[in-house]
Amino acid sequence: MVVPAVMLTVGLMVAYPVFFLITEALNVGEAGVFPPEALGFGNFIDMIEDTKVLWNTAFVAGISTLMAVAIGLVLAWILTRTAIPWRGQLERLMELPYYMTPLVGALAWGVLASPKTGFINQAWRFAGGAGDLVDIYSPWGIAWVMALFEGTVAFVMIAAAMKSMDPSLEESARVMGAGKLRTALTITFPMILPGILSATIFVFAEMLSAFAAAFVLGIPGRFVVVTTAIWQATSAYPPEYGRAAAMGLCLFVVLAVAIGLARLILRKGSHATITGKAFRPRPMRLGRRGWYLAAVCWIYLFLAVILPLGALLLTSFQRFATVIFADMQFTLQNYVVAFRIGAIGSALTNSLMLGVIVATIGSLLVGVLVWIIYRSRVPGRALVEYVVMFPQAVPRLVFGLGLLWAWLVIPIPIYGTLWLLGIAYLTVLLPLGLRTLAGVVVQIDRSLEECARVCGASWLYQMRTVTMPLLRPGIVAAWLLIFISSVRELGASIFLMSATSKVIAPAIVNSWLTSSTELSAAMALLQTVCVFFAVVFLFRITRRFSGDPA
Amino acid sequence: MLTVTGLTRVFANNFDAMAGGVRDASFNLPAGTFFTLLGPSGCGKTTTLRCLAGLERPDAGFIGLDDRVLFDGASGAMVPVHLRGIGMVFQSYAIWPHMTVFENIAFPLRVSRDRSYGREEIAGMVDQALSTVGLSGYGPRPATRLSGGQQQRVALARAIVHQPKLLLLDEPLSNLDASLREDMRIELRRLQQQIGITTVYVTHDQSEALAMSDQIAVMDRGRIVQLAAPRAIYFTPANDFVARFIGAANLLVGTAEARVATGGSGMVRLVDGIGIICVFPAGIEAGQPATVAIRPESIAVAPANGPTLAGVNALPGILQDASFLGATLRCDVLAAGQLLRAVAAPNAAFAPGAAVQLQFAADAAVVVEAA
Ligand SMILES: Nc1ncnc2c1ncn2[C@@H]1O[C@H](COP(=O)(O)OP(=O)(O)OP(=O)(O)O)[C@@H](O)[C@H]1O
Ligand SMILES: [Mg+2]
Repeated sequence: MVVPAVMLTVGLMVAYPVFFLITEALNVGEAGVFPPEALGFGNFIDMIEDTKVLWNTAFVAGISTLMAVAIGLVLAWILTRTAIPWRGQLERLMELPYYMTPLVGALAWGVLASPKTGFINQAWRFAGGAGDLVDIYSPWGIAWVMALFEGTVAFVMIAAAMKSMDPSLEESARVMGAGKLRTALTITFPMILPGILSATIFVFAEMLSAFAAAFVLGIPGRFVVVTTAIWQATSAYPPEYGRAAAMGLCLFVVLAVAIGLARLILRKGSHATITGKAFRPRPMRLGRRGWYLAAVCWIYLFLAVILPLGALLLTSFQRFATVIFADMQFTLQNYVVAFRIGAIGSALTNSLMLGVIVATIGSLLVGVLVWIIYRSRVPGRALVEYVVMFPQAVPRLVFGLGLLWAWLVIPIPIYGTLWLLGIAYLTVLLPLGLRTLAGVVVQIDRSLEECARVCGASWLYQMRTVTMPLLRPGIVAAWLLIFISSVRELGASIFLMSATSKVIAPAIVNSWLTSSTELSAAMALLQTVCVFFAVVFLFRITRRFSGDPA
Repeated sequence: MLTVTGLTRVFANNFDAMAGGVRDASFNLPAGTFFTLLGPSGCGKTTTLRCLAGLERPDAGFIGLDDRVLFDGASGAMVPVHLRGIGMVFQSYAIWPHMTVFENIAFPLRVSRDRSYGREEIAGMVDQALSTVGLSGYGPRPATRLSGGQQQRVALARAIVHQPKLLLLDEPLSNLDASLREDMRIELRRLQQQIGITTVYVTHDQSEALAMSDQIAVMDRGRIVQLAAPRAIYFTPANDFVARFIGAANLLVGTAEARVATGGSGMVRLVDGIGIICVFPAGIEAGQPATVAIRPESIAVAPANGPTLAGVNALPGILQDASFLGATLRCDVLAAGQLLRAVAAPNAAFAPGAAVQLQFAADAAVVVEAA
């Protein structure tokens, strides 16, 4: 009875908006009327005829994917296979760009490298240069920022593939007489290729559905990709919902195919690397050259974290952003405004509150789901996993669009409230939590629980003394991820937010569009600081409670 | 008293259609018996133990402990795991990583239903168990900070600490070095006899099984193929599988010359025409095919032109290979059309290629069933 209930709920939460999306995409009558007055493929034809948007999207996604994978590959190789100074610490620091979010990153790089007013260009002219040195409001600029902040995702995925490779496989090739290059080409590369390939496809899918950078950096230069085109179509007057839905639907299909492909490649190619035997990666000793490689990591961190944060910090305390020291006018006004504009203060509060509630409900739900999927013998549990993971394939933006109509039509007065945002977050973030916890659960040998029972413990006692304590780190990690992701959520929120239910990420975007850069910078920093402290706080607590000194 | 009748648990396997599990296992163990399940990897030993523990629901059969029915396939009655009052060492140890060694071992006492133990009492019993397995003083350590062998001993201590009626041990000594394993074996046997716990023991190691057990069941592909005392298993293997698995016996194929009564001895004519006198534990009709098992250590290697003794079988052969093993010289001899293994005194000087004679007593050649 649990399984059908779960399937029905999750299925409805996903299938319902998607259904509306399809209907609207086929609606060629008056926009937003349900049921549609006339059906047809006009919207799809419109979309295909708009070749510029398609080409822009392909260009930016392609370039940024290449750059991101290159970043991920280099970092992963350095951090898993070589012995550089402070390797462990550097690996932890690589998480930072993820906490920064592409939105904050894009704002910061906008401050740094916009034509004329960007810090880099200001400095360039101050030093005597003519014109602009860099222009971030260009396709290359957008791709650069997306690559910088998606690079860490590529890094995590590729590093996982590299770590799971038994070094003795390479060593045996060396022992049998293969040179370093030959070993790399015939053993190492084929072994990690599936990992790299699936990471590439996954990153490409993320880039296709990325919104923040393309929005912040593309709109000023009138450079439109499919996600921003969807947003424009809905905010145009009169709104072109049909076209937006058609684009969203196509994006969704492409994404679903890509993610399916990535998983398939990973599954097909991965038996070779998983041996189940414990092994220690043996990193290469490099001596002096290690410092150069460490420098590469630091350069990445500098570009993705230190420089953007520094720029935001400097901007947020100035009346007019500048790096020319003589022109600087420092002020606290931006922060005062950020807090005084009631809407913004409440946006942050709302976001944090939603984050806590969604993360708490979500991690409990994920706990139950993981138990059903991996530990119970309920028939149909594989299907449950499939249904819960499904939202992963729906771009956030498209999901938000679908939800928008779904709830507008339904006569439950939930549209425009935080409830709707909460439901949306829960649906789109459940896969993330599930994956995190599942990673922990599959490592817990079933016999640990069985043994407690054999010793005479009742089921409840076993849950309390064995299962829960073992799951706790996983649940905390899931909580944290859901929390962070919901505080920074932009794609779905931008459609679901209303004047009475503001959340922080879209509020920053609005302020970027309508008020000053300096104010936006202050808000972006506030968001980053909140997330950062939440993470640190939670790590503290976890450390204390898990009691594991390792 | 542990009674198991017709125990069956078959895993339907939809990947490769090879169904694993255990089929139709039956045994009766008087209280205090040390019973060993012996067999190659994947033959269903762990599955049998899990059925006894109640972790696996058998498809059919009956399990009774003393006067309690633990499982009855006919009525569907099944006592849940945690009410069976057993001790168990898992093949994977199942040491809880979030507890200390002490907490791990104290767990069965904490959850005991028979009676509640006081603090002092628990501490005393845990210390006792720790010293039994040679880990005195390890109590406060986090359980993850132990070597593989130490973890295994903690698992053993946890299984015996509450002195259960039935002890299920799944390769509890597999990760220990030879001398420690020897010590633990003796300690385990002593403890088991002292308290009189009925023990079901799983191992790959045949010498361990022969040394410790009152009864041994040899399993093959889910079935018990022979259930007997160690000596019977060793000297009169039920079939060629048991003969080969225990003590790596040589197997010769031939036909019976004449009818032999059960337990009698008679002549088996081998394929190349040589006749050898063998024991027929099950009797045979004339002209029937027969498989003869001979243990390497029952075969003496003598020079080809040496004297033949009356009543002793002799097979001419060519020495192919001799390996010096310290206590013995292991010889591979090509005789009766196949390679036979024999054990000679370590100081015997045979060169490969030499013509030799294999000698073995008639009662060392046992006719076994072909499985
Ligand atoms: N849960 C399961 N599902 C399907 N098949 C299983 C399952 N558990 C065991 N088997 C199969 O049943 C057979 C017996 O397994 P079992 O674990 O009892 O072997 P074993 O004798 O303990 O082997 P080992 O000595 O290697 O531990 C094996 O062929 C195994 O593949
Ligand atoms: Mg086993």
